[in-house]
Amino acid sequence: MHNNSWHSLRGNSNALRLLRSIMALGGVALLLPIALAAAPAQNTKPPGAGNAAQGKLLFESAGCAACHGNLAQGISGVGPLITPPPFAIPEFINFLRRPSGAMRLFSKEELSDAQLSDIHAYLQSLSPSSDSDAPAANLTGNAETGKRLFMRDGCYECHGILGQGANGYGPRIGPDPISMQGIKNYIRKPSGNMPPYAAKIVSDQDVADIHAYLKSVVRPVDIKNIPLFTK
Amino acid sequence: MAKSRKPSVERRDFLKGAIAGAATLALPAEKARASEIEPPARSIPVTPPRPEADPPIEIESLNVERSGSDFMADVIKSLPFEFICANPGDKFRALQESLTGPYGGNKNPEWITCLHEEIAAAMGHGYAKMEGKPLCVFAHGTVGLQHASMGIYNAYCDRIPIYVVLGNSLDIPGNHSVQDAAAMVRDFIRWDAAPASLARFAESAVRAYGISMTPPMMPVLLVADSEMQEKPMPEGPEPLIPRMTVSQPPQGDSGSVAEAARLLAQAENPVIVVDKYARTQAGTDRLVELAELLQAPVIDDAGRMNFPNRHPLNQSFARRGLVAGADVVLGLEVTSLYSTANTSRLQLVEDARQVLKPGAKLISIGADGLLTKGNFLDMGRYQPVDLSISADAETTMLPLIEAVKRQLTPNQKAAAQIRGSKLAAIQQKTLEQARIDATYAWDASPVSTGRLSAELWEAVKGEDWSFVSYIMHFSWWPLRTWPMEKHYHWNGNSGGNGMGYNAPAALGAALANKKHGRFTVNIQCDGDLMYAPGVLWTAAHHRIPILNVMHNNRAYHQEVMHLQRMASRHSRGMDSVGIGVKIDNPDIDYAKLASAMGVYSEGPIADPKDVGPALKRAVAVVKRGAPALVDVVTQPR
Repeated sequence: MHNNSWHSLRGNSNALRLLRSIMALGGVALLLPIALAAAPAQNTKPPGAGNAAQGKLLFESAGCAACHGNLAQGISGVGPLITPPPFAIPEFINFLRRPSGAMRLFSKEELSDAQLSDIHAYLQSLSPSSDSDAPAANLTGNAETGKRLFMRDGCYECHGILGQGANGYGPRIGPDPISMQGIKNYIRKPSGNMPPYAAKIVSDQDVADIHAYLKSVVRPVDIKNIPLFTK
Repeated sequence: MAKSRKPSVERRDFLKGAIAGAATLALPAEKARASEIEPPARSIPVTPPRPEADPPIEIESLNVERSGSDFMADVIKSLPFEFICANPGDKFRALQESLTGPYGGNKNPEWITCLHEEIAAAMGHGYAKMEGKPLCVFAHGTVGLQHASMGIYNAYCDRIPIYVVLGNSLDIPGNHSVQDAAAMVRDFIRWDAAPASLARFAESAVRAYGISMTPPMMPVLLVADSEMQEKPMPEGPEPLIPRMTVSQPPQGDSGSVAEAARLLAQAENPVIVVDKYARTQAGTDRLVELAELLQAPVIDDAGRMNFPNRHPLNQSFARRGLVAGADVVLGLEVTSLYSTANTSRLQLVEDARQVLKPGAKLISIGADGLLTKGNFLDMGRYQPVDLSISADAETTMLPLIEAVKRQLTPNQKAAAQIRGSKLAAIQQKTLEQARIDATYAWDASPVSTGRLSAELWEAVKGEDWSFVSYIMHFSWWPLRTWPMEKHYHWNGNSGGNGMGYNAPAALGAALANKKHGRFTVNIQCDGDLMYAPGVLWTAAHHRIPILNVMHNNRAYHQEVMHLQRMASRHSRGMDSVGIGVKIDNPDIDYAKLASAMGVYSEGPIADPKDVGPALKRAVAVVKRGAPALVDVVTQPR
């Protein structure tokens, strides 16, 4: 038997915390994401301005996931979480045309303004706050059922039984999961190594239940209150 | 060492004399008895007596004072082996007796009893990674080598030397003899020999050791013919045992090294990627010096303990972004540079995508360019590079450092310092984040791998510890959170990813650590242990101190995920995914298994609160010089 991993070996940390920490350092702006996230979150984009499905494809093909993760969840030390997008569409486009830090420039020839709007819409769709706009949002999830499905469908194999994630296998997806719609979009046609789950295997209702389960996961105790980390 | 050979002729003369003497001594007795017998009443024709001077023509000699195996033992003892790991085999019985009996004294090397040849080979693998030199593995030339072959393959992929001695018989054909013993593993060893005389055995044995220690290092194999072992030493002077010389590792030529230094010095965003690079602490220290000179991030691909994980320039968990932003990438003993320069996902169509930006320069320094094997494809896909130096990277590091020093301008040094300060901030935050990540699922049962890693660190942090596990399946926790500074703090991954490696390789590393007084700690996957659980007995029998902590997720979990992928692809649901890959029903009781083989054990433990106290007790046992095992029921990854 062999034991090669099909997954990337690295990187699935909580970039939001990283981002906050780096912001606290002040003035450290190596990477785009740092500068991007340091800006105030002014999400004034009207819902539906871009095409999220098209944006997902662009997000993958343009290499955004290489630094920001397949779910835009961020990669520790590389690129922060960028969902919801921290800029409104005009600033988002402006930044990508004239980036700071290590973020690469995207010219209009590479990605048009319309295409960047699509990516923006995709990032917005991943946000937990976007569920009110999502087609799947009218489904009510049951956390208990979701927990059972989470085990039955093998989600725990890579993400851990509480969705805590496993470095090199699957990112943390709970607590505070991305939007229900974002989960659904992703598992139907994942951009990374995640196996694809068709609706006949994991229905929209199943997604809602799993989402409810992940939302129900209790946040961990503050590290300052864990003796092993304070000795 | 040469020895004058006396016994053979004298022994034959002695035997002749003894037989003649016996005949002489017997004759008077017969005559005496005859004199006591009454003469026959009548005359009977008598056969004339045979001449007394000639003994029987064929006298079978069943004892020898010195056989070829004694000489072979002298040869092996002339080499710097500390141990021989072996499962017994009749085809090397004479050599074994010569080494372990009064002649060899079972010292230098000492015989380590293994319950499977794969254990012996993998112990050799783990020992060499820790000690920097091979031990000897004995195996039967047919059945034993087939058992050992997986361990040899892992060592080959990992570029690690093992010195394999095979017993084989050409003179007695049968299902335990083979014409070309090495053939079955020749594709994944460096060199082999089947010497036809003792003189050639000595030369080949010494040559094999030197070759095994010359990069690219890998296993070597020497056949010890069983008839040659068992026959008396031939007449005449005993063959010489040549002095062993290890070649100096190949070093990159000065022109190419200077060009590499120029590219690195001029780079705005240089990145160092390192895999099977550091054999020694000096190798690690030199890489630190190079990285600090350039203030370049180092991405450790984990083939060895190459670079301290708490060093501000260690950016191993930020590889994709750093490689994507690099204008020069230096690869040091990287087996697959293609995987460095590209990223891919394993969906229905594997869509590899280049990460390295157009125009970025790729430099490779490594001994794999000197590799002459081709059947196994462990080098991966071909990656074009801008400057390839086929040389030992550790040996080339010193001249590269000097060349970089000569190349760097004051402006470049200033730019490097700015680069380094940014990287240091990111590294610190990455570490803090890893610790926070470990708090998720802290109280979950089965125990989270993050919790187990933290509990284990608490238990061993006061020791002079050496972590010896393949940890890809453990979410890399120790590499993320334990401070690894010394070369022996970790021994890297397995090379070939063949299951059954970890438990015996960890014990081999522990065998090397023992004389240094280090505390060896191993996180042991359940599926891997069950390939050759007899390794626990070897640990107990030879009192090799090692703390084994079971990562018991009750499955070949990697294969669970593979089947899950296929089931998802086919949209058939997950109900059958566990078939053939789960190790449950019944759950294996690893504590009882260990206990049955004489190893202190505790478990199974599923409550995270019980882990720390159990580890503390087990640590105390190991510190007394014995092995221990704590079985922890864990989450999958």
